[in-house]
Amino acid sequence: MEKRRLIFYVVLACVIGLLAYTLLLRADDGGITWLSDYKEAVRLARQTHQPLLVEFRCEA
Amino acid sequence: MLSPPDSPLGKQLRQYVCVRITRMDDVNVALFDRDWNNAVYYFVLNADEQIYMRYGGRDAESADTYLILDSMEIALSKGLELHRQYQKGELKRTELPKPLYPREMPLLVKRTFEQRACVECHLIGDFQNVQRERDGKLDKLAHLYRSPDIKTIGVDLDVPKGLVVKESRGAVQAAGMKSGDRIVALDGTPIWTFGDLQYRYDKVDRRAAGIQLTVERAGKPVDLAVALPVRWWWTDLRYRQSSVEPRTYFEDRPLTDAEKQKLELKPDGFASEVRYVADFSRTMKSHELKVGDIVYAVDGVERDDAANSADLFIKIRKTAGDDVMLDIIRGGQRMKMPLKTYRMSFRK
Repeated sequence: MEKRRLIFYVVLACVIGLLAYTLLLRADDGGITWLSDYKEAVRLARQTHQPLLVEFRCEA
Repeated sequence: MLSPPDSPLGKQLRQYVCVRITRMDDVNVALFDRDWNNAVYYFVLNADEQIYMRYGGRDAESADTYLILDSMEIALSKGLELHRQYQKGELKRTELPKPLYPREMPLLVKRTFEQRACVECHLIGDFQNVQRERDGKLDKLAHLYRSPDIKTIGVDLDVPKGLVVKESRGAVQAAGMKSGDRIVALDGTPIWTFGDLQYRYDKVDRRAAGIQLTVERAGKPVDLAVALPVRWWWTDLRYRQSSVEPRTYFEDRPLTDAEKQKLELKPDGFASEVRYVADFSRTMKSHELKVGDIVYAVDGVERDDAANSADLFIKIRKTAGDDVMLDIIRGGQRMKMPLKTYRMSFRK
């Protein structure tokens, strides 16, 4: 029982972690999704046959 | 960006895969080559990394002179059209440049990665110039005086309409450019946005005597041979002053022909009047120039093919850290004045 509970919490932590990571990679700007990972964006553009708009913004 | 999904711009953006990059650590700076002193800049490209266009660019007056939602809408619409053409095989593929990543730039690595500091855009440009200087490949007219102002040759754009000319003056007017023309190519390379125009114009050899601008007029292309004026490349560097080397801590204005004649100075010399002295010059013990001083020679040199002022001569002909000797006129008296130039050491 303890082992099952441990597995449950580990899986839950992984799901929350993955969700947080995904949210970090995407920013919603007035309904437009802005990715932050260029390679992921290229992969998505290839998959969807869409062009890419790359914004370079200095936030330093 | 203000882009509600149902606005015209929002609808266009939804047809793109949008990606926002705020750290340059893993960016291919050869592919995304640009003027690195722009705080915001866009590229429209495809998954094969074929760049359709750039959107961005600025002038000395403001970072936002050419950034306006109306022109972005025009650009994004054209980007979608170019993408459709590419997918149909109607656009020629261009060869990709050899990739270059910030981690391959040793001086930049030392200043950023090794100190866990952000690889800021402007640092890319700064360290490219430091490396060029060390390699003896720095062309200051091109690398320091980046992104010449198109207004110098008389192009005044109707900014919301993209590359439509609002008014033409000077060199472009003499070449036949008219209000309402739309600029479509520079030296045969198609351009779609101000960002494209500024990027291509920046690539023009600083020693070139002229360029060809193609405009669309009444639906037809018209080639205009534009004779470039002297110092067409000169541009106000104050907004990028942290990237300018060497530092002189004074500003001047070229003397008029009449002023030179009155002072018995060479008519084709770069004599200039000091208009501003930075307080930092005292702190750094750089020089003791005063407003109103006339500087007419640097290390005994009074004229130069490119420079029309003493400050410009020092900036383009001297290396940061050089000690130079100025010949000046103060209150009618001729005298010598040592000047030590500096490098922005805290930046690089």
